[in-house]
Amino acid sequence: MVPLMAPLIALLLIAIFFGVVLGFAAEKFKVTSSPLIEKINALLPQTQCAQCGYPGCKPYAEAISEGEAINLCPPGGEGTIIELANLLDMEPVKLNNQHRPEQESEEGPKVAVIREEECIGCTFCIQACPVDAILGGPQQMHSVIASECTGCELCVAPCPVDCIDMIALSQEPPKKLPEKSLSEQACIRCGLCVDVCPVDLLPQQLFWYSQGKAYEKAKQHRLMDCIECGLCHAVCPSHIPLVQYYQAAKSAIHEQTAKHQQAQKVRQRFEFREQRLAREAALAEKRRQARAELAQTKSRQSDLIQAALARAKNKQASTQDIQDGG
Amino acid sequence: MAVKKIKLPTKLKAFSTSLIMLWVLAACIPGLVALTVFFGWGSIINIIWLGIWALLFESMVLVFRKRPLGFYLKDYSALVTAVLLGLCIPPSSPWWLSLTGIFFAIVIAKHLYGGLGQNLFNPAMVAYAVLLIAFPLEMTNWTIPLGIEQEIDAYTGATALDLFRNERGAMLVNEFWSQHSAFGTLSGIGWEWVNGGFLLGGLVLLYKRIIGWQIPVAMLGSLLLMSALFYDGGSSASGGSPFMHLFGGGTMLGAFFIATDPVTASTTPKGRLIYGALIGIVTYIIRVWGAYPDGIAFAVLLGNFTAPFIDYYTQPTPSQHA
Repeated sequence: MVPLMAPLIALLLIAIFFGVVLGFAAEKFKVTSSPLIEKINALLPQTQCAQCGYPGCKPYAEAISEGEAINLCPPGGEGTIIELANLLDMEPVKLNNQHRPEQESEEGPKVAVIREEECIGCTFCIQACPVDAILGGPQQMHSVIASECTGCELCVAPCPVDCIDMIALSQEPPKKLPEKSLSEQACIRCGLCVDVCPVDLLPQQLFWYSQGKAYEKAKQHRLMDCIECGLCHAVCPSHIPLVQYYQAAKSAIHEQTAKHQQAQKVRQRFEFREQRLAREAALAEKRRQARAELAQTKSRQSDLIQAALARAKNKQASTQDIQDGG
Repeated sequence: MAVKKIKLPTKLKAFSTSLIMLWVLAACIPGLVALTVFFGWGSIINIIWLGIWALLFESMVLVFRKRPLGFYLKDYSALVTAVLLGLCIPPSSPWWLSLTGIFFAIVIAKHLYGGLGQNLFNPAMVAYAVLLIAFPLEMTNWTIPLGIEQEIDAYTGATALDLFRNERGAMLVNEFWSQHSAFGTLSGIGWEWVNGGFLLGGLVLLYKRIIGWQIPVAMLGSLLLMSALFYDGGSSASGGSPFMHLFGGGTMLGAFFIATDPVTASTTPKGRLIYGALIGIVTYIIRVWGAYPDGIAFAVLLGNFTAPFIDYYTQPTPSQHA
């Protein structure tokens, strides 16, 4: 028995020790908001359009973290699905455009425009806009701030006079990967391009990553430093139009960065709007309470008066009784 | 940013991937001639047999993958794989051995990974490793060099390198060579000529700038260093003379034709030095302390494993020219 005691006691002590440490850590380093939700939310386009069936991007991010499909976001399109799939280690799936199936997903960005002469100033669209991008007041003409509009179309349906149009933004078309031609042989990584690159890049790696759309890797290999001089293409024994691949990748990276910056900005506006709405709701609640209190005091006062009057009446009546009786 | 000075190849348009492959094939000729002189017609027969099957397998897979046949056959990469494998396997290999090998090389090691330029491992070396593990007996019995007096029934035997590995420890290096005087005095009869042939071909490739100098120099240098370090003055614990290691077995073929395969090698200038040195060291380790007669194939495959890793950490930086 005795030899067994020592390990038992030791184990017990270790268990107690770790229990205390874990319990302390659980309290001290408590995770209030799941970092995964934040990461997912950062990838969503923040149009707050609710086309996914959730009332905004954050709620959809929460739903994804609990197992919702990742392909419900039409504004994000294929790019967002791929990024989400990468983050969550899933297979990219095709976009599920459930709420507006008649629409093509890859139409490019749009912006809402109000035909101002027809606007009756009802403010319905202002209330519908998730990012406060519509200006105007009751009985006054409304107007959309084009640079803040996410193109979510939530303002279109509430308008009673149908004076809001969704207009496609004209954009420079992104550079596409070149078509494979029959003069282009496989890259055998011979390294001739490495020898000639004037800015010391590894063109064969950049080609690999550009072709595979591995933009993070391409950036790590300093794709953005490429001066597009074309020497790599000139020496390539497989005659691969390398610069075209780099241009396509660069263009895609620029587009991605712009999209993320826009999303960041829009999220701030959305969060600010939510704060404002919450603040207004709180204020309204306070006012309502104040009014209720006021009403209560008033009614209490009138009660007192009534009671006093009644007492006075009673008194009068009783004196009369006494007088009558006396 | 400082811009580096560039020397452009003069004839840009004339250079092509197909031409590179043809030069590699041409550069194999001196070594092949030496093999034929010392070991008979076996290597040439093997190469023709392997070449036919390489083209057949390549066409088959291309048809399955719905790729244009003529376009891909014209890059001659399948032929290069066939020739390299033919130079590695014993000249007396049975027909089914080489057939199995070339199937693994073309179908599995090359096309299942995505075809030319996408394979992680050198196809010829994958095939060699598969054959060595699956058919060790056939793969270690080299044809006995033609110059050696032989009994009628002894047509094949171990190579000098193999025999040395097995019998060392029992005698001094000098004793080994005097006991097996039939092998000559250096690295086994014929072998120094075969390696000399591949060295010559390799120098041609270097001169034509088809391969870089880094991998062969690093590999031969590290092999030389290792064998000099462990030569131990020719005692019974010696790993063998540096000359035996440099001109024995498949050293030169490996250094100039196998390790330099650009698809599977490291591509950064610094990375190539590390990659070559790694292969040289591992080759020596397998030869002297391992269980296989020659270590080139496994060393190259291990090198292939590490190439992406080496590349990642040896990216050139622009500050180099500042």
